[in-house]
Amino acid sequence: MIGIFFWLFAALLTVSGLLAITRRNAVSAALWAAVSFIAIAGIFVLLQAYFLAVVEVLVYAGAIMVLFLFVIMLLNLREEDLQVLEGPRLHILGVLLAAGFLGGLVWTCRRAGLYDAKNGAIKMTAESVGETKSLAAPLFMEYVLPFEIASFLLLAAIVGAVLITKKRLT
Amino acid sequence: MREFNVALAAPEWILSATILVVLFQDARTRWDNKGGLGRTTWLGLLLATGCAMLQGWFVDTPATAFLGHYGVDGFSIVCKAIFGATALFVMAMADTWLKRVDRGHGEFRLLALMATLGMFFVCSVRDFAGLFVSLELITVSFYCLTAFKRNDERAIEAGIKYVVLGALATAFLLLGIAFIYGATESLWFHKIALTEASDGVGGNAALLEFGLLLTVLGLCFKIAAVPFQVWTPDVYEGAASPVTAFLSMGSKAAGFVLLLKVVRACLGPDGDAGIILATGAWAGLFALIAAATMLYGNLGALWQGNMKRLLGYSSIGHAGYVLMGVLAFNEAGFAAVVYYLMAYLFTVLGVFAVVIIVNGALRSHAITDYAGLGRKSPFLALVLTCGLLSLAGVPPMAGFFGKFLVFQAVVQLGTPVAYTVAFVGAAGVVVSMYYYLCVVKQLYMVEAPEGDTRLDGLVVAKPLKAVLWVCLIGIFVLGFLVQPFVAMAQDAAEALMAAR
Amino acid sequence: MPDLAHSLPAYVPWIIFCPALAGVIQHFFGAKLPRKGDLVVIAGIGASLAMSIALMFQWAALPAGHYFVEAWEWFRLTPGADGIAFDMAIVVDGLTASLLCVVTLVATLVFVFSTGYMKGDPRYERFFFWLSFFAVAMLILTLADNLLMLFIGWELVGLCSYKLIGFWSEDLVNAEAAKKAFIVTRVGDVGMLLGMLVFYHYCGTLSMRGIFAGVAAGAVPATALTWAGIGLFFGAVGKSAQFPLQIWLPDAMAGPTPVSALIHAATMVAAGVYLAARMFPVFTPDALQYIAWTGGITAFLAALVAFTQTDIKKVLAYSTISQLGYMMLGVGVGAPWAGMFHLTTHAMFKACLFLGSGSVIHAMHHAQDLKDMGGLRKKMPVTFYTFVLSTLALAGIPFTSGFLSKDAILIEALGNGHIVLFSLGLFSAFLTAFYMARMVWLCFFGKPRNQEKFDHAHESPLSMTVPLIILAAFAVSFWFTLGAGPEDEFANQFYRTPAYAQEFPKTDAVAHAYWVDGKKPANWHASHGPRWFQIVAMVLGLIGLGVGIALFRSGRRNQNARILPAGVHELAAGKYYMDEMYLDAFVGAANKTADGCRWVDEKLVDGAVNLSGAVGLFIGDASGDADDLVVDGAVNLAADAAKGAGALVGTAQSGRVRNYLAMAIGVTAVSIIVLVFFVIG
Repeated sequence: MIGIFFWLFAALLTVSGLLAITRRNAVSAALWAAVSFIAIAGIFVLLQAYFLAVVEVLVYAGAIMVLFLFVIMLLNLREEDLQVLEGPRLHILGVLLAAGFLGGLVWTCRRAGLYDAKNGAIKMTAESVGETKSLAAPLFMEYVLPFEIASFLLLAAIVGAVLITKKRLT
Repeated sequence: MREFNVALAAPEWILSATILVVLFQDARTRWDNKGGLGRTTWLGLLLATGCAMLQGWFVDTPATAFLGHYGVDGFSIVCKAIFGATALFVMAMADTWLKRVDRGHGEFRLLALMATLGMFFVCSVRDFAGLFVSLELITVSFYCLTAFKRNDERAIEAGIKYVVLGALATAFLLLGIAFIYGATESLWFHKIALTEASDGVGGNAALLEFGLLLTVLGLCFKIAAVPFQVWTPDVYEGAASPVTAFLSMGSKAAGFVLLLKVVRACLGPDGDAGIILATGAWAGLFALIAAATMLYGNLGALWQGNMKRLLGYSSIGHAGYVLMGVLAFNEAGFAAVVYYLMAYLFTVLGVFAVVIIVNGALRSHAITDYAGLGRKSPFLALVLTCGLLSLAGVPPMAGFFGKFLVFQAVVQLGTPVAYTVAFVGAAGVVVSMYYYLCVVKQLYMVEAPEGDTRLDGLVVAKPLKAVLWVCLIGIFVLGFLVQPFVAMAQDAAEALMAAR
Repeated sequence: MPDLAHSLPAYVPWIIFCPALAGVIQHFFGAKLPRKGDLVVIAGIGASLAMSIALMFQWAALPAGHYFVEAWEWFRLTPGADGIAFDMAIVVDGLTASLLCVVTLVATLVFVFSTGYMKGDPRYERFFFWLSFFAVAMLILTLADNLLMLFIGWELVGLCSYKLIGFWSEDLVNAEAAKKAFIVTRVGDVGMLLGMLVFYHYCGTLSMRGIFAGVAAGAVPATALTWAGIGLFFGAVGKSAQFPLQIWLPDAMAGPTPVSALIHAATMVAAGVYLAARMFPVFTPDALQYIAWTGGITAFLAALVAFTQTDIKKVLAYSTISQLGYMMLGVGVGAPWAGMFHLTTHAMFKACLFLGSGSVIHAMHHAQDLKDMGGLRKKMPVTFYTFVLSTLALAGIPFTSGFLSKDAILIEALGNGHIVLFSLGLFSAFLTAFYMARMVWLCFFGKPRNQEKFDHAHESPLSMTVPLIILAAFAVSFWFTLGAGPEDEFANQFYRTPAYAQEFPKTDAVAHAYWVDGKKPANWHASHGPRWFQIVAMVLGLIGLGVGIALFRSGRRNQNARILPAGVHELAAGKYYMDEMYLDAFVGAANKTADGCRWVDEKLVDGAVNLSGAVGLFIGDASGDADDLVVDGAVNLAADAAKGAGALVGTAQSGRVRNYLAMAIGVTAVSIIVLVFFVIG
């Protein structure tokens, strides 16, 4: 049962991801990206990571995607503008490269025996990964240092945004 | 071991406090009165660097904090000294440069401070979570710094390129970390070696290898090595000169520090080449990357007419030389890397200091515009010449010694791969001589065009003059009175090897 | 074996420090000192000269095979238990002692000469600073007992040479010549560095003693030893302008003539020979073959080119290359003492020739082409006589120093069975006499070809003629047979027993016995009896001179007359087209690769540049609109952020940056495959 859902979500993720990067219209691209986030959330649910699934939907598919759409619409990119910005196309090369990368990935997983039946399709270790407690405890105890560095990371992003948008002072 | 022991991270605390003070100070001062920000920044950087260095005497190393996720040892202390010095030098350049800029003084200093904070953390992290966030702190700060000159097309372009490629590299890094986590079921660096030892031939080794490959390639972005080198010339050219200087030294060195940590983690507990690195494929891969990087950098630089593009390509080439030290996979190689970075610090920042001064007068980075600098400003020309010759590896300057140590570490391996990469490196040295001499020729052997007075009477601000002197002296000291610095580099490498 | 090492006399480091101190003073106060500080520099090098002579006598008082040595630890690498110490070490044996005297003597005389030659130059004080700096570097190179220290001196002399060739940088040609010289020699240095590293790998040290010990103990496998030796020698090929890296030396004549005399004739270019002689124990028979042939071919090829040159300095430059070839030939046939001997005598008479040409050039107001000369004999007698004396030495006429040393090399070539090389050398000796006669005649005899310049010509001042006289005096064989028997006693005494030779024998026992003990190998050609070839050589030299004079004395032939057969002349005049070949092969290849990089730049980067230009315009438009519409802070921020994002999207979609990503991913994919293959295989 879980297997079926996994393939379903994985297929959705792949297809929507592909659509997101191939749509010419920025709005539809963004919407397809939102779909892919929802698919990821589905996979998180299958992994019993319920809290992450919720966060994924709330933050990515919700807040960030709304901001993106807001920005795209405000910018109002027209089809002609995109035409101007067209460059040489290297589709075939791109596909080959992506295939090569994928091949490496698959090969590695095969070598690691991840597809073997005895290992199970999905390895599960913790029994209570879904709870916020199991996320919060390591985040604020074990990994408090990376957490704090991440706060500076956000500060840097904010300061950078201010810097880039700031008007001339004189 | 499992204690928070927060006082150990004093240098980082000082830097964090400085960032917050500058943040509020910036908000509370008028735009035309930002001098105080500079003073706070200087004070914070000096204190943090001093504190980091004092830990060498007053802390019983190795020591850890934050439940073992933060470590202080001989390696981290030396690296922090390098980063602190870099930041101080860059601040001195920025002081001069910011006078020509009418916006964003506070933000510039804040971002530079945060990048420095990231570099300090890079020295001390002991797991992949710390690695990732500290590296991203540096990277994000540099994204913004690169696009600092918002009204300059080239800067915007550079910023975008840097972001897009950086994002790809980050994706690689993250995917790599995920694989490593999958293999070791842990984010600790030292778990890699343990996994290798316990499960060397099992399925986990494949995951681990793939993860390491992606991680290393992701780090190649920071150090500007093949395959993530393409951004370098564009970004170097487009970004403001102090930012370029900071990028070329600080950001690159941070990448190398992490690369060393990751490579060290793959070695066995006694420093023997662990199971993965012993296969030879890794040495081959590193050798391939190093050789390709050296060739790309040195050949690309040949016909550059723009000083900053030239330095961009040359910086790619140097990444290749440092990688040679890494691929030795032993203490001698790591010591050579640390020494190379120390030498590179004085050399490249000296060069950039001159570039900033000259650019202030010229508003151009064309190499032909440097004509006649030797007559008009002998001291600047001297520093630039010594810097370039040091980059080219001419004895008795710092760069020669860095190269010598790297070469000797590699040749000491005695494998065909090692000899090949040494040969490519040596050929690169000759090629690099050509383009560095092209600049030197402009300085001394070409006259400035009639009536071109832009380079007349260059005034150098005091802090920048100090930087020039320190760099000049550093170039010669590290090229001749090498013993204390070699010892320092070796201690650092020894501490790195002893790290658990 | 008794302990052969003696501790170094305390004053020896001051041989380096004195000119260094003088150089520092000159650099900082030169312009303010009386006479712009030239006296300080001369005093510095003079002190070195005095100490060098004292040192030579002190060394000569030791029994044969003994030497002075002293080491100070420089730095220590610790991969092992005790680590590997790198020393600042000085060794003084016969090679060092004699080369020290040569360097300091020629340097002193050239410095004195320069006070006259460079008079009135706007950068007079800077010139003396660089001369002094050069002397320091050369002395470091000479005294070094450690390949690393030697290499530092080696590169520093190259640097000084670079600065001094380009000293008159008003002419861009000079700057190009300087760069060419530096880079071509640097090609050789790469070989040297790699050779050094191979020795370091096997012997674990770079000190001469350690390397000789390691080689004697068989620590270096035979093949590696051959290649390492050839690598080291390749450094000498670059520095001593040997085939195929000889192309830089003629161009280097762009520097002031005293520089040519000091650096590009007497000392720096001879450093390659010194290196080859010093490292003689490590060369395998194969490597020696390579050295010998390099020397022989260079000697011959360069001699031919000298016929086609009309610039007085260029003729001398090619003759220098040719003579350096002789020295290498000497080393290569297993007789480093003969090579070193020729180095010593050559330094004196070639410096004299160069300074003499400088004197002529000075008199002719910086004209240096033979077309402006002729008949100068009357006008400048001192220059003329010293020049002729040195020319005789160069031609190898009896009773000159050159006769002794050139003969020594030819004897060894013949004796060791290198018949072809011997013939080549003998023929080159004939050519040498021939082209020198041509030059002397065209310069000093006959009718003036440029009457105006001739009328203004005058004998040079004392500061220039006295060095000429002193140097010319050393062109007489008398000094080198003083207090010794005939033959090559001088060479035997100074060069046969270098430091460490007796402790660590050469792996080739026969060669070692001949080298150190003078014990001739069994197959030694019985040629010492009648010394027939000595007569042949002498006669050939005289014939060469005679032919040269005969061809030019009638005055019908001028400097453009073709002496060589047509095809050979074209080839030689084109310098065997090696410059062009290099240009095509290396520079062309580098160009191609750089073009590749440029393609990446232009197609990928410039595309992106244009693109962001478009984006920039777009942003400009949009920001104008947005500023009008929204004023408040928060919204303003969002709008601006939108612009950034728009730019980002625009660029990412446009294709150029995508190419970067494709490249990165491609390399990643390739490395995965490589890795997988390696691991599986």
